[in-house]
Amino acid sequence: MNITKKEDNKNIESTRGYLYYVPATDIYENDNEYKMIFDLPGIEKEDINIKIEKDILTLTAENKKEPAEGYEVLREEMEFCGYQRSFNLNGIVDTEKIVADYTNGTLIVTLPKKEEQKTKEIKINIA
Amino acid sequence: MLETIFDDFYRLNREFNRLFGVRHQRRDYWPETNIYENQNEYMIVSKLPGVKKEDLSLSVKDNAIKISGKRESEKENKINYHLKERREGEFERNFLLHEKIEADKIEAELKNGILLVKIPKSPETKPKTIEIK
Repeated sequence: MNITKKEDNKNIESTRGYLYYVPATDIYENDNEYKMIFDLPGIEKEDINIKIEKDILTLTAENKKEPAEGYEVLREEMEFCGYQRSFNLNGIVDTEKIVADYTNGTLIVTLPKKEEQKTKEIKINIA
Repeated sequence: MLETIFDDFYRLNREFNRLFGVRHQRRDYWPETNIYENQNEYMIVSKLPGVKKEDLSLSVKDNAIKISGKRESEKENKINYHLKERREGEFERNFLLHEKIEADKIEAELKNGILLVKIPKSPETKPKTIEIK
């Protein structure tokens, strides 16, 4: 059951001319849930938007702050822009119970598995 | 028909890129840092998502600034990774600034995973007007 296998990032461009990064992401599962961890440095909590449409989870985060106005650039390794990424959930997640938490620039989305997808131990008695 | 074959190739290529990290090749620097200046100060901006304040240290010696720390992931038992792109472990970056700085007036702030360090330049570096006799 690979949640990332059908990752669908169609390189959608924004009409407003925003530039989006693909955020670095970790995805793991344990017995009861999947967890997605996104790195979204510089984003305010209110500017994060997670939506699920046709079982595709899309994360969009707008960056509205440019900390370096009125400065000259000496070294530039990154830009301050928004983030966007989509994942296909393949019908294995209970979408009603998704929870998200944003601290220190990291977004943790907890996706509980559907009841029938949970790992269960079945004991078979061998006669 | 043809279209679907190419779609499959496209998908295959994308999977390969994802596996071998082509998308993240630009990330040679970690943490990514920008440096700015104006007449009065330098400003260092670093992306440090998921790094706790207590795991981060900042030091200054002469004109060199050192940012170091570590990022750790959750230690959970029985987990199975599907995707692992976020770097973790220890990091250290050093920057040498050209002009003299005032080490005791440095201000640093960590917010939403962005570290912002403001380093005032020493008054000695300001241009002086020389009176012509």
